[in-house]
Amino acid sequence: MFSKKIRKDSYGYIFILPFFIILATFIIYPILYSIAISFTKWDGSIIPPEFIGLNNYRRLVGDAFFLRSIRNTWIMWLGCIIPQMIFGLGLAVILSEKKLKGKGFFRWVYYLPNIVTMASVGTLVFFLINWPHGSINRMLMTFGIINEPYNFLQSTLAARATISITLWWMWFGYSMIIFMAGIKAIPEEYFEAARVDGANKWQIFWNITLPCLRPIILYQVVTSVIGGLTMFDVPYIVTEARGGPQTTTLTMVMYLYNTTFANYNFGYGATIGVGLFVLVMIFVAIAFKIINKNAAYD
Amino acid sequence: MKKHHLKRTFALLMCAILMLVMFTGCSQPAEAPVEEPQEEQQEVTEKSPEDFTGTLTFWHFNNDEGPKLAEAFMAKYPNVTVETQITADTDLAYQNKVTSSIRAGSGMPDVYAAENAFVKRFVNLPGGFADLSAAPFNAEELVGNNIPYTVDIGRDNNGNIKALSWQACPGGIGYKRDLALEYLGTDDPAEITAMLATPESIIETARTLKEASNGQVKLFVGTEDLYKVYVGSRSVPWVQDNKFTIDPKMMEFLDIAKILRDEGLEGGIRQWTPTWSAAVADDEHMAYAIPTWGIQWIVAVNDEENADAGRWGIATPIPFYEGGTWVGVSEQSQNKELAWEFVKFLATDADHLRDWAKATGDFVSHLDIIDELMSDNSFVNPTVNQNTYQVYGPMVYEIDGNLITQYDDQIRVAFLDVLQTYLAGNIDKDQFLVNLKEQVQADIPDLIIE
Repeated sequence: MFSKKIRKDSYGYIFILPFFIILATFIIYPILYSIAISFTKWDGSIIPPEFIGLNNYRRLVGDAFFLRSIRNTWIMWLGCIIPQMIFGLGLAVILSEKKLKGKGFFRWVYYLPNIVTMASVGTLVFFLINWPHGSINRMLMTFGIINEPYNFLQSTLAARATISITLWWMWFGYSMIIFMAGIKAIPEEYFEAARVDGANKWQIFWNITLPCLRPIILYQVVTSVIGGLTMFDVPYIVTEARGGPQTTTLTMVMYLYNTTFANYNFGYGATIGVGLFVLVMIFVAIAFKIINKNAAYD
Repeated sequence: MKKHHLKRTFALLMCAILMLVMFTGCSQPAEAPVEEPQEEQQEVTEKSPEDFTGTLTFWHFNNDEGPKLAEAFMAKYPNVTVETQITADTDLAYQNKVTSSIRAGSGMPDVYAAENAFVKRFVNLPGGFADLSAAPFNAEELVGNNIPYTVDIGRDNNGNIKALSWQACPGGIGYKRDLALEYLGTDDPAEITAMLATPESIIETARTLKEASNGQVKLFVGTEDLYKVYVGSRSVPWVQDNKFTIDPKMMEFLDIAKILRDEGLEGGIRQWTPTWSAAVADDEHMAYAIPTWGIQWIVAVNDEENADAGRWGIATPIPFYEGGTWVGVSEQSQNKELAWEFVKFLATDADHLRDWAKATGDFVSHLDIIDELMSDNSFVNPTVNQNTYQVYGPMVYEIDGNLITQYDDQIRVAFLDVLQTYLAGNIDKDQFLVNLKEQVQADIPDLIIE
């Protein structure tokens, strides 16, 4: 009936070649190169890297700063992702209401923080919480809530909370938009059937909206894991690169950056990079497993 | 078959590309350009400034200073063009630019600058600055009139001169005369010097000031200003024989800083922040650490209204130094003769240095010019109403250039970070030392830390 012959010229390969060249140059080569120098001691100068075997990896496994940075990153990420999901979902449900007026305005307002660059937000927050003359301190003192300026960056809880809240503020609008798209994809019949059966809004949310959005929630958590584990800009700027107080806000990428570019340990910096790569791979694999398990909801 | 063939061809092609890219990158970082022996052996003949022609590229990190240096050179060498490129060192941008260009083996300018904080690292970077002690530069023959400490800092670990500086940066305590007169009863630099001469007298003066002003005026803007004084007046470098060493002066600093913070005798403002700059013009913070260049770049620029009003005075209770900029010829330069002429002009040309001192108020490193300006009573800086050469001049011989090590900036950052936690009362002095050593060890793993 139909000819089984499909034209298989080699032109196609030429067309996709530029992509592979760029991939090889900017992604694959740097990864391989990082792995190569992670076995060396190198200060980044023209003196060639010195091969030191697994020494860097031995150091990494017992490195208190690295282990601390993993813990810090997770704590601050959880402090951000949980409220981010709750607010994103809540606002998406509210702003998906057909009869609500001014929806467009609020969607825009809530999404706005996400289009500001991280560095600008970091700088803004730095000035807001600055001790002793930051705006928040001045405000709290003017209203008589505190008598002495509060040093946010010398309290572990306050410093971590500041970073988590900042990231939440930047990202809940993004989550909201994704959830709204998810809600739009739920067949209207489900809602109609529920309404006909006499379900109230709360029951509709728990029994229809939320279960149908489960894959979307998982998608968001997975993408956020990658973003969260590579957290850098905001804590770097707010804590002036140090991850204070006492390295309790030092993230993995900050440690990598400081080791490599502020302390010129390129070899060990690459080892931290490999460690980070492995950790992200593990967590993403776990997250994907969970998603696939729940694929039945799709 | 054809499909397999194509697959194989494609796979081979990809492998070839990958290998090519890898080998290109994995090849040894570019060797330092080999200096042409002919050039080295060439005798430098006496030329007049007009005889020099060509274009130089010059990297600097300060927009206020870099272009002025180039302009001064071009004014005397009319046939030379200096193309200045400024990269601020915010987040180490300048340092990383220089380091990566040296590593890449190309892209370096003919002449580049290094600041006190990182000059020792730069002079020891292989492939960075050319050896100025060697022929044809023979810098050793020219630096006899330069302040020894400025020359020593520009030497690498083998003792070769790699960079030179035109300025010296002894420091004093800059204070607002009106506040001193009102609350301390005098604005005389000699009397203020006596009031700040010892840790005990600093605390006593700070308490008097607080009491007299009903808590409105603090002695120092922040502890970091006092840190500069103490760190500059150490007698032991941070690193000795590859061992991390804490000078007893720094422990003395810890004690005094804690008292000042706990009793609210200093403003707690971090240096170089906008609040710190704004406080220069206020009536609430009396004193800053002011090295020679600070009169212009800390006081005058932040208190423009009083820049010529002599509102400030400089006391010199504890000799210290801070900052300074060095310049050297890049090993990659293809125009080393002209590049050296530029460096030589900036650091050793007496006429230029006299003009530079008079035009900018900078404290130059040329001993003859220092003597000349010290004896000129009419050479008064309007910002502080003092002859700055008479104020800072006696200190230049007390500064030890060997105090600087290539690790100083990393240690400074670590020290100030842990200091904030100590001053906030979250750790005691013993824990301060533990945390500091832990941080320094993590930052510089090669150091021996006991």
